[in-house]
Amino acid sequence: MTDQALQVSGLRKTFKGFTLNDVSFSLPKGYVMGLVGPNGAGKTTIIKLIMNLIAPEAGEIKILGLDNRKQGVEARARIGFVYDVMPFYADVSLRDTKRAIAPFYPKWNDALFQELASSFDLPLEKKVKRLSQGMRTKFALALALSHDAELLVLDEPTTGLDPVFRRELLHGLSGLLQDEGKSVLFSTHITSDLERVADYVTFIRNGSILLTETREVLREVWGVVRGEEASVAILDSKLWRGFRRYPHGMDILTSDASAARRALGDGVVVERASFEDIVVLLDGGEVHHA
Amino acid sequence: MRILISNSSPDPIYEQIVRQIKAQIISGELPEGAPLPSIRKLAHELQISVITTKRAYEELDKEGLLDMVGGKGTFVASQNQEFMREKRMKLVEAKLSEALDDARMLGVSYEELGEMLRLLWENES
Amino acid sequence: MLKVMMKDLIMNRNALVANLFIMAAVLVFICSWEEGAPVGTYAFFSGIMMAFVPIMIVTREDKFKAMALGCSLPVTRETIVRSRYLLSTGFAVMGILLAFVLAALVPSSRLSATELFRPETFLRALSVTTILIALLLPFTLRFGALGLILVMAAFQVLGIVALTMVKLTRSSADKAFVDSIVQAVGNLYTRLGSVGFDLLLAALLAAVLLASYGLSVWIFRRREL
Repeated sequence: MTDQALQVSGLRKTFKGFTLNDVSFSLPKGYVMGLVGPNGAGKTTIIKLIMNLIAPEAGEIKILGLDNRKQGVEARARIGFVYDVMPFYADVSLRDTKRAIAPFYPKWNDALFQELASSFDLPLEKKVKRLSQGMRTKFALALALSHDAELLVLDEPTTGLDPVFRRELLHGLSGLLQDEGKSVLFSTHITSDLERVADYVTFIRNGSILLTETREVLREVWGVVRGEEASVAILDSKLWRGFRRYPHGMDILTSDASAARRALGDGVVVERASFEDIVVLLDGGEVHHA
Repeated sequence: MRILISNSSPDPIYEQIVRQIKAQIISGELPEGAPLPSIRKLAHELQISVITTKRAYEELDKEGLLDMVGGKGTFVASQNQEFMREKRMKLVEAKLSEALDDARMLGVSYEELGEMLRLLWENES
Repeated sequence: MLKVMMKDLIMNRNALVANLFIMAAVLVFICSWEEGAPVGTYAFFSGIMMAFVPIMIVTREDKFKAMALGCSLPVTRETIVRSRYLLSTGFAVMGILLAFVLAALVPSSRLSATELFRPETFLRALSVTTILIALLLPFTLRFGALGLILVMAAFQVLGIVALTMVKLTRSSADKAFVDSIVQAVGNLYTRLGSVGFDLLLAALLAAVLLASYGLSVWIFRRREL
């Protein structure tokens, strides 16, 4: 029995103008991973690869220990998915959509679906096209949660939602995950989403994974050094994980804030790195010296 | 169990949790055998990672202050009475030291201090 | 596979019903033609019409990008293909039968029931539908609704090529050759009626469908969404 909900190793996929290169990361069971990166970074591609909508040129994906291509049906029976744009038939009612999809899942729990539908306030008789984006996401989530899925794969679930709704959704999601058996992978380009619900964070840019780490470590161990270039650039290159020059000085992302503090003393500011800091400064480990 | 997390505090979150739970156990707010929320429930309520709450509980478990019973939950461990008394004594001692320091700085005499203590004690009884 | 068929039925229910009414109306019109359309022509048209069902399903699927939903479900690509073929041929058979029943029962119809309910009439209609399905399905499974356009374009091209060939055949030898081919194809349909030929045709249609199915599975397994 594996303790990993998702294992991605060595994925490669080439498109015109974009390549997903050597993507590897793992998500242990019972945790939530945020896959974060700018638009076009490869998040949706990774999710399509996981769901076997597209095939990789190299690499493999294991879902709950199952090969996602060779044991795809078994794997997908245990995955609940929510896509950025859900491919529903717009002129079909929610109820009919559910009726069409439910039989595919051996563990479908209709009582649970009804419960979720009512707590989400879903108008089951209405057609999908009558629903706002937020309601459609909630509907997709209700479907995804009603068959005892062990892995939830959510592609940009908060896009198109207002901040209040977004917060509600994420908080609600966190509440639904009280079961240790459930794991979640969600992609987003909105860093504040991670603050609410992620245990692990994977940063991706231009088709490459820059970093996978726990939210804890990123918060407590990493940091941002801010100050005049002359004062901060002397920091040992081994501690650099990214940087940016500004007119007023320089920010360096470091993987060891206390070491940086000890090394640089009082002339510089060493702060906690927010997720936004990390996304902006992270450059894949390339180190540039002044 | 009330836990307050400060995002701006320099202390790691798990440390803040450990400290607060410890204080509540010592003060008796969390009596022996009292159940604690599950690590996931706590994480959800505080909006932090479950990895953090897990770390905090495990630390307290290691120190003997909590019992993590698999399948049933987490409870305040039955404390060695001597041990608890000692801890509480230390707390009082620390507070008294503080008061003494302040008193010295202000030039309060030992007798005045004693009188103050007696009055306060009588007032609160 | 039944689950996939049910899903397609549920998702396209209204469109199917609407289609049914339109088809019925058109068929009533055709069979009531003053000139007394021969049974053969009626069968031919019914055959073509029944191919519209998979076309409609595919166009709707394309419009809502619903293929991504189907393929995300716990079901193999082959199963999806199989259900599509079954749904299409199922509708074809039922549809043609219904068309004949319609032509037999509608009072304004000028077609006789005895002529309609002969195996060869049925085969005539079915052969048209089968060939269309065998062509359309692989293309649409690969290209979606675009596949339809491609098939139609292919037909246009074939038509142009045929016409050009006919025009180009100046020498009598060539002309005779082309004529004989056209004759032979025309004759094929007149052979309908003999049990042997009927069975042979049915077998041929099944073979064509199977080949198309095999191709579709191969195509769809590799399709990227």
